[in-house]
This record gives sequence, structure tokens and C-alpha cells, in this order.
Amino acid sequence: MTAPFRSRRRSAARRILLAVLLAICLHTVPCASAQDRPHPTEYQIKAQYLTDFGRFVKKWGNRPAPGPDESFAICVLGQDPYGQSLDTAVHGENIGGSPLVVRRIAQPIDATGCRILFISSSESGQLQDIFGVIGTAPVLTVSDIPDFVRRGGIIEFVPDGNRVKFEINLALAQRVGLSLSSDLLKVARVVRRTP
Amino acid sequence: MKFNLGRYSIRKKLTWMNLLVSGATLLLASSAYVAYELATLRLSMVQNLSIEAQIVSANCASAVVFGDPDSARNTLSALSAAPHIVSVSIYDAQGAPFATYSRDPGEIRETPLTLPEGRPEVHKFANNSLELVRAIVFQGKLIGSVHMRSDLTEISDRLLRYGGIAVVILLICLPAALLFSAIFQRETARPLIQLADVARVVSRDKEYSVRIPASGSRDEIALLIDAFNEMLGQIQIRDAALLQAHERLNLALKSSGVGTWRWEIADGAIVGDDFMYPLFGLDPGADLNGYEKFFRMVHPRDRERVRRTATESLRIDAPFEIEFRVIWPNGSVHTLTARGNMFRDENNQPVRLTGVCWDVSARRLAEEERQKFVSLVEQTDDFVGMMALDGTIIYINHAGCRLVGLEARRAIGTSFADLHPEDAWSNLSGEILPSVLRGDGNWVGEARLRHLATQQPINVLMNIFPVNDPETGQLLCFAAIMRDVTERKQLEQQLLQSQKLDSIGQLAGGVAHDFNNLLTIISGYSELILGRCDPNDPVVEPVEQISRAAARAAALTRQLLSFASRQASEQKDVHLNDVVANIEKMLRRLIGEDVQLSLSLQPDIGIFRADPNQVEQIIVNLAINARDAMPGGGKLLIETANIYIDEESAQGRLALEPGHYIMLAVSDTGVGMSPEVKSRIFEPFFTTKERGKGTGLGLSTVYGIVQQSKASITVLSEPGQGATFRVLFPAAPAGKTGASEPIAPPPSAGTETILLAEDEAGVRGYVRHVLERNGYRVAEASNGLEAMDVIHSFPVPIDLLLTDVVMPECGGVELAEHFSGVYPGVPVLFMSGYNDRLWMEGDQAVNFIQKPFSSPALLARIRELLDARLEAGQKTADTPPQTS
Repeated sequence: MTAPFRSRRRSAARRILLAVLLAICLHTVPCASAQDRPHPTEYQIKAQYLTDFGRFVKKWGNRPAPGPDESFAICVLGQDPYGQSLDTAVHGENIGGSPLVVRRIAQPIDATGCRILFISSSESGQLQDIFGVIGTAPVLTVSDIPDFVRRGGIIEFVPDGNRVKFEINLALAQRVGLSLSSDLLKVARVVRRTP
Repeated sequence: MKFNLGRYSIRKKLTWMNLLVSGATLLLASSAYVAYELATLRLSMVQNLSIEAQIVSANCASAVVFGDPDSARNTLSALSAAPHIVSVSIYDAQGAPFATYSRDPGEIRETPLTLPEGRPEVHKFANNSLELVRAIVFQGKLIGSVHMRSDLTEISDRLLRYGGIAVVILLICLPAALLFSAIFQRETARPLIQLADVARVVSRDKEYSVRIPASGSRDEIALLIDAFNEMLGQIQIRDAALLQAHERLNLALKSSGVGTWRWEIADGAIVGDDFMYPLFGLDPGADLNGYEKFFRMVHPRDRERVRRTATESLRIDAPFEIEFRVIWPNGSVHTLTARGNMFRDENNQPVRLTGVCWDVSARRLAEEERQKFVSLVEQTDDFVGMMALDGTIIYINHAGCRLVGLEARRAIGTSFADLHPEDAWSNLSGEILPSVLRGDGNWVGEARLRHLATQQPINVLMNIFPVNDPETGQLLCFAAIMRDVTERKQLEQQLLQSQKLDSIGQLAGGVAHDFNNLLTIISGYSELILGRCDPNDPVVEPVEQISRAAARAAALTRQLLSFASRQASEQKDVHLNDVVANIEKMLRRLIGEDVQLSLSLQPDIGIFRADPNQVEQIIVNLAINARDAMPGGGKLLIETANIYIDEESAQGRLALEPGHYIMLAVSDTGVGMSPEVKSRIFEPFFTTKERGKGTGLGLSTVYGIVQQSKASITVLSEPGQGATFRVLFPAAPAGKTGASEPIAPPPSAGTETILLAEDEAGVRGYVRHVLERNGYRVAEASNGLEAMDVIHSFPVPIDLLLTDVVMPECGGVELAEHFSGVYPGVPVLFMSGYNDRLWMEGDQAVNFIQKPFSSPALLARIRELLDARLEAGQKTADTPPQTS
């Protein structure tokens, strides 16, 4: 008598899976259809990562932890490569209650309120200046400019086939007072501990 | 299947009990624990797995977020440290596999559980594995799910482990339990086993002095032991008491001489105890047992009674008591009493008679002695009675009952006062009894009783005395012995009478004697003068008158003298009938025409010694007296007969000895006499006639002659019923007479059939009794009519009619006529009252027997008549038939 039972359970499982998928879909990214799972683009992934990095920062230097009374700004300095992706990724998210917002800035000076600053590759020549302006402010600098972490950035996106990996300059993060979760470090490709 | 626990000893039972209890307890406990553990194990497994899933998801969250499966795989590989985890799979948010760990390479389940909506975790036990799916939530976001699969070895491991532990525990505990039970049951069972042992000893050896040692504990068994010991003690005490009682009983039996016996129904065996032997005069140990042996000792005449009593007792299931005699070996006869009872077995079936037996010979002797005295008292003719203090009769003998006409069975309890006329009783109770009570001793004197039926007074000589208890002297009752003195009184009367007459006679005689002398002078000298005178002398007439008067005076004197028995008499042999015949003519002249004279003279009258002249004088005087009693005429009957006076009839008659007598009876139908007149009739000069009529000496003269002749005279008369004077002359001794008369009462028995007609039941009964006792067959009737019925209906011919004269319905005479019509020639004997005959018409030859008659007289008469008839019959048989 177990066979029918099993099949019943199987069909039930299918239904549940369906529901879960639906829930997941509804909860996260609005999908065109339940069956339709488009492969994310590079900048979709990066956008997602950007929104997630903030979750792995345990301490933001002397800045208070993100809370509901302020917004969590993810700034894009330079030419925005993300298009809608970052806005989509950020939509409805919050970190610690603080709603994520995307700010596109032109000047490094405007990055003071940002928690995470994505420096576009268009600014690859201004890095020094940028860093100079930011200084030791607890801003998580992320970029996909090559050698970003050597050049003074904290997280550098490194493409790896279809995937997007990243390197972390831990020492630098520490210097600016950002305490990063080991979980993040775990998944990072390279972790520079020494300057 | 019946499981008989009783077979096993307490030890075994306790041991097994312990083992079972312990084993069961442990088993139950272990099972419960194991079950509990199992139940919680699952839960804890799930919990553990959940925790592991959480750890995994926490650790892999970043890998999932940043799409680094390697990192995740790295983390997952750490799970190899958890050998129970079969596989772990991480799925991303879309449900695509992200990273997998599998303990056993190559084995991956395909369709995992899916998380239902809203639930962070779900698990399922299936197929030896536990699956758990947990959502990976990173900072509030569902980023994927982790699927963990664990095998259930932990459960089975745990089971085995616990099972093993339980077994080990059991293996340890059961022997321990055994050990403890061994110790415990020793403690518990020991007293019980001791108890059982002692009980066995007690019941086997009947030894009650053993005791169970006290155990010192106070539990129920100890209490039981205490109680048991106490019970043994009680039994010992009771045994001792029983023994004592038994000894006492034995002693009692021995000293009382009571034996016990039993008679088995099954085989009829009779068995007695030791005490039975002396009762039968046997030595102890002699062979008494046995039915036949026992009965051989019983007196032959009592055997049947004993046997019957015993079997009857068995039959009706009632106790019996019987007295019987036994003959001892030495020949002496003893009386025993046996009491017995039926004894049943448990099925209520009769099994035997058992009882006791003891010697009552002494009592029997005493009883016999008593009986002798009782019979003495019962046989005496005197009234013997006892009166209780309340005045009721507590004993009265037969003679006493007869005397007062009291029925024996109603005697006891009757008030003594009832036997007395009122005045007599008031005297008795008022004066005599109190004086007796006072201690004046017994009182003897004359008293009067009262016949309860006739109310006639009875004169008695009474001796009344108190009966006291010999020990205490207390008054128990009064006793009275009384003798009927009526007869004595009568005799006294008669004596008085005769003495009176004697004294009068003496006086008269004395006077007469002197008078005679003077008369002799007067008549003598008268004769002289007449002889000297000339016949024509005018003095002749007066002198003749003187002479005649003197002669008359002399006659008178003679009469007087004969009354006084002074007259000389010539004793000769007198034939009464001849005397009567001689004076018949004169008598007829004397009595006149109005009086009818009839004679009834017994043909073979006997002879007696007397002066014939005097006898004539008697007849004449009696006739004159009878004539004078019948002024208007009547009948006069003169009878002669031979009479035999027996003892009975002689009673009450002064100076009348039993013997043969010649009777002369003169009866009339005159005016009769009252008792007062009767009592004075023989007094000289007593007369009921008017003055001038008669001298009043006639009967006195008769009396005197009677006295002189050693005869006796009685008067029977009632006012209006005429009178009969009966003189009895003692017959001359046998040998002087030639007549063949019965000297001794003749054999008077016979076998003839007699018809008895008598209206008075008492007389009828008496006569019948007498006749039947002497062999006659009697047909009886209470009056003439009845008798006539009998005549016609009696099956056997009647040989004699014995009838009363006066009977209601139809008198004797009429009956006799009828009878003679049916039975011609068959004798008829009339029983007559004193002058019944006089009332009869005609003077046919009739046979009478005078009432009251004695039985011998009656029998003699009957026999005489029957024999006469036989002879007559014989004669006719002998006489050749006349041919003419």
C-alpha cells in the first residue's frame, strides 16, 4: 500500500515545490513565469552582491550600525554600469532595517553619506583622488577596476567565467574601521591581509 | 489449563514471585524508558539535524549569497565528522542545487522534500532516514534551502545500546533479586515453614506441647504464630479439662453402675462398655457382645418386648426406655432399665441405637413392695383416702369410690366436701380438721357421708389423721380411713330393738309370772266355789264369769309369757307344711270371707326343731294381724320354702348365721306399715288398732316364739303395699331329715339358653353376669315386649324364661303366657318383689324366686327347674306312647 502513498506524497511535494517557487519568486524577483528562470547578467550579479555586501559588515567604524531611521546608501560614482539592475536589487531591501537606496554621485565628496561606494571603471584614473577624499571614512569601496584592492579599494570584482568573484583587502577594511564578517571572507577569492 | 500453585512450596513461590516481580518491573521500566528515549530520540534527532541544518545554512549563507559553491562544499565537507549525515544539499533561492555533500559517494536522492509555505523547516522520517529541509535565511531573506538527510543508525544504535543496557541490568538485577528473595523469603517463609512443620507434628503425633519459636518480629506471620501457640496452649488446657471430665464421667458411671451400649443396625451387633458387664452379672471381659448372646441373657418373657421396642424405636425414630429382666449366670433375676436413641451418620441414615443401661432391681423390689401395700389398701373394704390441704381428694381407693358412688377416674381433684352432707362437712372442717391440725392427733368417730348418686346419707366410722413429712414434719396431707357402719348401725338397731323387747319381755314376764300365780288362785278358788255350789245357785253365774275372766287373763298371761319366752316349749321335729295343713281350716274361719287365703308350700320342706304349737301360734297370730290390716278384704298368702342363707345375705341380719333355713312367710295386701310402725311392731301392747281392738300382744307373742326357737323374723312392708312377715327357722342338721334336699349348693352350672327379662338394668346385668359365668347362654330383654321380640328372633331355642313380674310395656305374667304359647312346657321362673305374686290373678302353679336372692339360690332354682324339665322329657321319652 506504500506505492500509492508515495505517489500521493510525490504529487503533494510537487505542489509544495510549486508553491515555494511561487513564493520565492513573488518574494524576490518578479518573474515572468514560474518556469522562466533567466540567467542573471554580470551586472545583475554584481548588483546583487553590492546589496549583499552590506550585510557582511559587522562594524562600520565610528558610524552607527544601519538602522531604520536612516537609509543605507549604495552610491555609484562614475558611470553607472548597472542600469536598472542595482535599483531592482535594492528595491524593498534593507539592512538592519535601514532601507537600501541607490545614489548616483559624480563627485567623491558626495560619497560621505554612502556606506557602500561603487567606483565605476570610468573613474579608474581618479582613484587616488577619490581615495584621498574618502580618506579613512568607513566606506566600503567596491569596484571592478582591475587591481582595485592593490590600489586602495576594499572589494574588487573579479570575473571568473560565468561567475563573479571578488577579492577583499582586509587590511584596508580594517584601516577604515570596517569589520568584515568571516563569512564574507570565506567566499572571497583573495583576501589581502597585509597592506 | 489449570495452574495449580498449591503444589509448590512457599519458598519457591516467594522466589518466583520475586523474580517475576523484579523482572517484570525492570522490563517494564526499561521498555518504558526505551520507548521514551525512542520517542524523544526522534525528536532529538530532528532537533540535532535541525541544528546542523542551521549551522550549515548559517555557514553557507554567504556562499549561497555570493554564489560560491566551493566554499559551501568546503563547509559541507566538515559534515563528514557527523557520520549519521548521509547527504546535505544546498539549493538556491530558485531551487537549483547549489552544493551537495554526500557521505556515501554516488548516492543522491533526487526529489527532496520541499518547504511548505511559511514554514522555515520541515522534516520527514522515511526509509531508514530522516530528511530535513531548512530555509536559508540571510538577514531576513530566503536565499536558499538546505536539505539534510540523516540515517537512523543513531536510533538503532541507541536502541541497541539501551537494549544492551537493559539486558545487562536484567542480568545483574535478576540474580540480585534472586539473592534478595532468597534472603527475604528465608526471613518470611521461615516462620511459615516452622509453623507448617509444627502443625504437621501436632497433627501427626497429637503432640500439643510443642511451640513455634517466636521470631521477634511483629508482622502478621508473627501474630499468626502467636495465635497458633496460644491455640496449642488452649488445646492443652482443654485436653486436660476433657481428660478430667472424662475421668469424672468414668467415675460417675462406675459408681452409678450405668453402662453404655450400642446396637449396630448394619449387622445387628450389640456392643457394650465395661460397665455393662456387672449389670449382667458377668466378669469384665466376658463375652457379651453379640446379638444372640445378649438376648440369651434377657428373660425369655421379656425378649420379644425388648426386641419389639427397639425395632419400633428405629422405625419411628424416637428415643425409648424399657425395663426388662435379665438372668445372671448364677441364676438370679435382675431388672434393668435401658434407654436408647437412634444415631444417624453424616448422610442422615440411621446407623445404630445407642444408649445407657442400669440396674433397677432394687427399685423394682421397692415397687413391688409398694404394689403390695397399694393392693392392701385397694383390697380392703374400708374407705381409704387422702385429701390435700386445699380440700381436694388426692387419692381414694376402690372401696372408697364404691362407698360414695364416685367414679374412680373423676375421683382425683373432687372436693372432699362433696362427699359429706353439708352439716357434716361444716362440723368436719370447722372443728375436727382444725383439731387434727392443732396436733391433737387423729380423730376417730362416727360421721356421715353422702352417696353422690342417691344423696343418701352413709354412716361411717371415720379415722382421720394428718400425714407429715418424715424428715421435716411438715404437714403433707390428711388421710382418712372410714368404715361403713350402716350395717353395724342396723345391727345395733336390731340389737337395741331386741334388747328393748327382751327387757320389756322380762318385765312382762316377771309381771305375768306373778300375775299367773294370782290368776291361778283366782281361777282355782273359782273352781272350788263352783264345785261346792249348786248349779242353780245364783252365785254360779258370777263365779263362772270370774272363772272365765281368769281363764282369759291366763290366756293373756300365757301370751305374754310366751312373748317373754318364758313359756315351756316342747321341741320336736316340725314339718311346717303339716302344721299349716292342720290349721288351714281354722285360719280360713279366722280371716273371714273377705280375705282370700292362698298357700304356697314347698313340697320337700325341711324339718326344724321347734314347738309345733308355738309354730301354729305364729301362723295364727300373723294371719290375724294380716286380716286386721285388710279391713276391706284382700289376699293372704302363706308360703313355706327351704332357704339357704349365704354369707352375703347373712350380713345385716343380727343373729343370722349362714346356713339352711326353713322359711315361713305370711304376706298380705293390706295397708302396710310405715318405718316407724315397722320398728315397733313387735313391742308388746303396741298396736295401730283402735283402743279395745286387739291386745297388741299378737306379734309380740310371735316374736317371743321366734326367739325361743332360735329363729329370726323380718318384716317387709311399705305403706299401701301390704306386708310380708318372714320367719326363718334354722333347719335341723343334716341326717335328721329324710327329704332329699340340697345340703350344699348344687352344681348349678349349665349350658342352656335362658331368656332374661328385667327392666332394672343393674339387676339384669347382675343376673346375666351370674348366669353367663356359670356357662349359660343369656338372651336379655328390658321389658316384656322386647322379650317377645327376642323369643321370635333368637336363633337358638330357649330353655328357660327368667322374668321379673313388674315391667313396663308388658309385665312378666303376660310375657310368660306368650312364652308358654311358643315354648310349651318350658319352665318359667319369676323374680318377684316381696309380694308381687299377690297381685296376680289366679293361682296357677308358678315358680318364684324371691328378691333379693343370692346367686347360688338363683342358680340352684334354675338348675332345679331345668333338671325337672329334663326328667320330664326323659319320662315322656321313656313312657311308651299310649295306644288306644
